[in-house]
Amino acid sequence: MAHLVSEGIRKVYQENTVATEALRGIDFKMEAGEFTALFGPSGSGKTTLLNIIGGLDRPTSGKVRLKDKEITGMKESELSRLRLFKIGFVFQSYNLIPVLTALENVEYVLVLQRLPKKERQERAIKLLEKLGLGELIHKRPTEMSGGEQQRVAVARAIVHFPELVLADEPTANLDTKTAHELMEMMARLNQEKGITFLFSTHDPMVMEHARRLVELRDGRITNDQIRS
Amino acid sequence: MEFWKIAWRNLGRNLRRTLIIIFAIALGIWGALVTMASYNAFGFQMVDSFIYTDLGHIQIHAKGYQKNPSLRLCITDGREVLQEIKGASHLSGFAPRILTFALAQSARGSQGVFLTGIDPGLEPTVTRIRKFVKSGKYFESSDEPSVLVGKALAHKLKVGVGDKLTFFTQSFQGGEDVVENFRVKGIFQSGFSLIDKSVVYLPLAQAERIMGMQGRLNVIAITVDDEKNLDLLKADLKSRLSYQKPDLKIETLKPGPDGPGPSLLKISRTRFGQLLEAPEALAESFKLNPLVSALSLRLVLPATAHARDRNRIQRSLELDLYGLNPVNENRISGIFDKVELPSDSWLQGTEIDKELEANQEWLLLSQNAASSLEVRPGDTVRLVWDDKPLTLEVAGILAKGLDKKANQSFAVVNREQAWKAFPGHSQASEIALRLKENADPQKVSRELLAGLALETMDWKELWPILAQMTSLMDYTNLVFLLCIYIVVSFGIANTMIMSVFERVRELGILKAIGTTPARLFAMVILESVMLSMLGMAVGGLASAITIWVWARNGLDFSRFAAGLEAYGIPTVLYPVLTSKNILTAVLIALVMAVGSAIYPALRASRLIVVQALRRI
Repeated sequence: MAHLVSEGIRKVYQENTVATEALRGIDFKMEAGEFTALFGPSGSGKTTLLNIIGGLDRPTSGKVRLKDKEITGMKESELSRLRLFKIGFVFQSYNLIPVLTALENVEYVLVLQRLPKKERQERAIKLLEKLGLGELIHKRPTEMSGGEQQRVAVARAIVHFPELVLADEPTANLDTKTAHELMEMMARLNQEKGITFLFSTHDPMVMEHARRLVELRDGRITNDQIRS
Repeated sequence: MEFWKIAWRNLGRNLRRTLIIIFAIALGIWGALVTMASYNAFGFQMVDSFIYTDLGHIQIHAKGYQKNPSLRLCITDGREVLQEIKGASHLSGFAPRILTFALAQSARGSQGVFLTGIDPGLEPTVTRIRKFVKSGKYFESSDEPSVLVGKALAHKLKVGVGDKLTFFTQSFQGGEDVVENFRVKGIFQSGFSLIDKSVVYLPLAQAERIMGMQGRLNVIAITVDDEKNLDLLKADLKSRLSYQKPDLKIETLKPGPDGPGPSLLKISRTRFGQLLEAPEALAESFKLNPLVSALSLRLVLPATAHARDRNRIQRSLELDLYGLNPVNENRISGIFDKVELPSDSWLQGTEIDKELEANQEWLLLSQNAASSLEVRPGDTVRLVWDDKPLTLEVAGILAKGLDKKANQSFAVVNREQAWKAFPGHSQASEIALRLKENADPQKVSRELLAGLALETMDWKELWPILAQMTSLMDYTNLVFLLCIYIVVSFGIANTMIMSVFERVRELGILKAIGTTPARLFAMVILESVMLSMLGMAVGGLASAITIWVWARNGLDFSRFAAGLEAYGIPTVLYPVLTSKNILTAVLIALVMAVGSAIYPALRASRLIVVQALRRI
């Protein structure tokens, strides 16, 4: 059984009388430990697909299953729990809580999970240090560069050992060098920890790092290839 | 933890906005607390003035006195009651008083006044009378024959210290006017216009003497050590003063021989022949009962009558001699309507009771008594009781309406003749009452005995208007507070709405990574509460400083002196803030903080993540 399965996903946005079909029937599977990039031009439906897989949005029709659990029929509160325990998110930018330090941002998810203070701090500090962000621990997002912020965001996305990390254009706001470093870090986490990554991008450099490339055009998968 | 931190740090994000709203809340709180403190300055000072000028915290009187103040409605065993009061816990001071109405006359004018006998030593333990004396001096001994006169009254009577004042009043026993002269020892000014223009104080011993009070009191004013112990002291006094009145019994006499009619009651001591204590006071108390239609005080004396018969032989007879007021008695028993008169009697015979009341030199005998003594109307009889002889002329014979036993030895004289046997005045051994038609004698008897108790009233019962005014002030305070808070809460709501709208994306991220809507809701509420608490802290501090400065110097309201003094409010006011005021202000502020954040909190909790994330 595949780790993630999406079947016949359609998403129609209805604005007044005009209906826009963002996804037109996506059938897509992922195995655990994959490091997969969704690519395609703007408006091809990458973000919509990620949102549906992450339980942030609901499809008009079709199903998504994560590890045998169908998430498309879940209630709002169940989706909250799913996002809290099973999924990690990395957004395009500006995605840390500005009033919290790097450590507190990473720790936040563990607070929601009601872990004891000592345990969550140890875990967050260890992770940040491992990712080479030790000196950022007590800095707030405004005191960090974009790349640093995004690496802290990755730390936040994986601190609770999720089953799937979804990253929506994680390098879009970064310069090439920083973007490269970030991708290397994610690839390393994938290899060393076996964390499953699915990210969207239209940056060729990012695609370089991916081991599987799925191309979306006009809401359909037009190409799906595994790179050796 | 993280939620507190996020909420707290969010306040610092738009520091200027936060400071402005904190300032607005602080200003509101400051305004509310300072206003409450100044309201209290008026209210408390007014209550304070009433209490320490005249009322005391608690007063004790004979039951019914508060509704119907009368010299005769008095505490009959004043000294015993004072002894009981002395032992009460939480007592600060007590002041016995005698009060009556008098006409005061000076060389240059006259005026009706409240003549108030006060104990010169005890009165200052309750009121500030000593301080009120503006010229002359306060009493220096407990029984000096001098008075203190209110300033406005002195002005009206055109008297000063050392001048003479003549008072016309009635004594406790009634009857003839009491006329007494006193020198003005001092002029006082309490600040209460009513007191200053109508009250004259004189030493209690003098009042007792001229009114013939013999240890009776009208009012005992009492102060408590701390206002919060008022109820404790009141309860203690009530239980101390709830003892039974000395052994009185009430008998129901049958309606007269003319058949069914209104019931008659007779009140006497349980031990036969003993005199009633303070019968006039008892009578006053009984008169308050609406079912009592007439009342007669009777003095019953064992006396020996001596007379010489036609043969100059001395005859003697033991009599039950009744001292009666003919008019009053006739309304009860009607015996004066049944007197047989000789044809040559000096009495006209139309309204015998009134004629007999006007004349004291007479004796009425029952038929058998007259025949035993062999006397007829016009003869003289020598009566002896307690070694005091008195010779009276027999005015008539009580022929009808007496039972067999009474007929043997019954004799009547004017009550004032009978009093001559006793030192002092106004003695009686029984009180006869006539009830209204259809009144239940058993029920009335119970009411009469219950009515003899004392009443213990606190200042709120004594001056209900004062209590109402203070609660009205509390109410006004609350309304004012709400008005301020409603205005401030719009400010808070606006700030919170802005703060949520600015953070839509951030809140979306919080929600995306697993924060539940309830937590987001709580977070926004928490932020508003923190904002309000900061405002409260600043406002509270500012009010504390303002009130502290004000309390040190007092605020001068002398421009409004005339209006204030009518209520006994001094012209320099000191603010007071109670813990209840502060608690109310804090609680309402918290409710306001929560209330004004509900809408923005709901907006935050209901954010749609996908839309929120699209916001830059």
